[in-house]
Amino acid sequence: MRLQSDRLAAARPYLYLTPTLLVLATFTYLPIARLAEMSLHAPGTGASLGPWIGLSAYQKLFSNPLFWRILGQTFAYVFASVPIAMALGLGLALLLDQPLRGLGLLRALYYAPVVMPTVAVAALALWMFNPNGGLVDYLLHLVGIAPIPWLVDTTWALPTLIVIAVWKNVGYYMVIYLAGLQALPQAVLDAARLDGARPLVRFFTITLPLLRPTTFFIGVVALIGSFQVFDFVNLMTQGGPSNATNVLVYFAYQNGFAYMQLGLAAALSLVMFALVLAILGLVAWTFNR
Amino acid sequence: MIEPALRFAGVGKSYGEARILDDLHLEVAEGEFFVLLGPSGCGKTTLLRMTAGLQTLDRGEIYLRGTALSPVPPEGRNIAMVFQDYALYPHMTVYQNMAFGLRRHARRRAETDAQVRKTAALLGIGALLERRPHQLSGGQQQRVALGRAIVRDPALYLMDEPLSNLDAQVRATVRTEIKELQRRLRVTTLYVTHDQVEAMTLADRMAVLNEGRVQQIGRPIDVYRAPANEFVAQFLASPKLNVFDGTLERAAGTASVRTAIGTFAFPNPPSSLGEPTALRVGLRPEEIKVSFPIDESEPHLSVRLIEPLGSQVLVIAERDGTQVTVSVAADALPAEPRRLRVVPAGCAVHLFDRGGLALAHFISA
Repeated sequence: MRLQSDRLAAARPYLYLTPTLLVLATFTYLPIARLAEMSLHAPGTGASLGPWIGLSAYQKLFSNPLFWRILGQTFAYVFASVPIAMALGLGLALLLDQPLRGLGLLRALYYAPVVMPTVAVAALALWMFNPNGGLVDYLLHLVGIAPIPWLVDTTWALPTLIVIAVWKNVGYYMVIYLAGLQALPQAVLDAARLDGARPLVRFFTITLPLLRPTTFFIGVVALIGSFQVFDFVNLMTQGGPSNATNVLVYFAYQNGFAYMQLGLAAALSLVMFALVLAILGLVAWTFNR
Repeated sequence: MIEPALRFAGVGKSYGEARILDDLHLEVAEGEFFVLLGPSGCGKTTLLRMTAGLQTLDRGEIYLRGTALSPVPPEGRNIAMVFQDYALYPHMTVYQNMAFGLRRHARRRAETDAQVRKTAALLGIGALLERRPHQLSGGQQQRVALGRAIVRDPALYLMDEPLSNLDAQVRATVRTEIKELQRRLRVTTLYVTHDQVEAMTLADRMAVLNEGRVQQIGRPIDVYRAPANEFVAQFLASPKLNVFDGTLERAAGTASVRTAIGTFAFPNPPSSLGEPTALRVGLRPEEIKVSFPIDESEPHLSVRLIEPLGSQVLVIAERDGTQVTVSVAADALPAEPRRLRVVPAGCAVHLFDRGGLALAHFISA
């Protein structure tokens, strides 16, 4: 009897975890397994799989120069937009972390793009960055700079996309950094002042190290989010001009649903999954050292 | 006149309508251990933070060794502060915590190293140098905080209730250590507390603050013996001051003070005392002489409650709505005392006018 109730007590936590695990299994783990299965088979009809083809989908993917180009562009997008948005978010948070009048309003203003629907942001951005009389080119014209073709130019398109993504995300990072800053122990910062540390030194030796958990959290969220960038690309450029703004998720989408290469799309998705996992592992390792 | 190490000249601070500090004047001598004592909200911590530069003054000026502090930012004041919650840099080792301030003052690495190790040895934390704050006990953390202050050899130490987060045993130990250190290093120290025991044990001199004003400045023993007003007497009493309405009765050359618990003979009353008939009489629990009569016919108070504190016992007694608390040695207390009599001779009596201002202090004859 006694042993049985002990066993029950030991099993109880797992019992409570079961519903969540079931949902995750149905909608996350099983699809990943199914994806792996798909990537190893030729396309079939409907939900059924074609014959086993081994790793040939991966071979096809890795031998395609466009894949490598798009991989590079995805990395460029991620490793430009994430640090820039994080640095700007922290900068804004530092500016707003003081007893200002109308602080709530300012915070709401900076946060507004985050809650705006992506479709609206994309439409707005298309208008602002329109090379034919868009707002940005008009403003540049006022200070005597020739119009820039932004999203229709292969050189400018990706940077423009990065700017728009930064603008959309910076408010979110700002709010989290602000919460992090306000949770910092004021006495520690006071102690550093009395120890003779001037503002810039205080920021780099005290504030920034103490914000480490916040930076880690934002970094992980931002990395995952930007690797999965799809909607801006889909809404504004469809990967163009000539694949200049094509990224991994959009490429997978094109292969799967435009070119009906489901096996290739599955392989691509798995490669991306492994990549994100590896990068997050690296980030976690760096932060927990 | 020699310029004192630290001088507060007419310092004032307000938050909106609320006056936190009002026209405060204080002088602290070089090497002195000066305690600011007062209840929470009396302005003592504000005063300390203004000295550090963490808060601004509205009126007046603070001088450190003759230099006006207002134009100097905290980073440049050469003042070290020990905080209530230690405020160690959590991401740095003990060594880095102590070296931080020295590095800021651009000393050579070898010199910094020697200085840190010497100070750590002085505080008995030499073995902890590679630990981080969260691996230390409260007492150890506060020692590190002291070390961080000492190692810089500043012109002034500020201590903001450094013992209040420690448990009772450690508190007593660290209190002794702070006193020994200050005696040894002789650095001018301004120490804020609401604990009269800390003030009494640590201070060379102290100022009692209430509602933003200095109530009394002096050596602890002088303040204890002759509190300037009822507030100071009350604040320095533990557990609490017994206060009664009383009347002063003068006869040829002598006087006596009559209260609900007895009449106290007042030898050599000063002529300055005039003729206030109605006044307030304060007696500290430990300064009342009592006996425990067996005979019911003697006038007495009924014992209501006994609170043993160890070597001392608090006895709370009452008669006709008048309550008195006395502290007696445990071994002088009979088993189950029921009656308590105040012995009128040998009590320390503090007389205040109706407004609470001290008139006289005497030992009853």
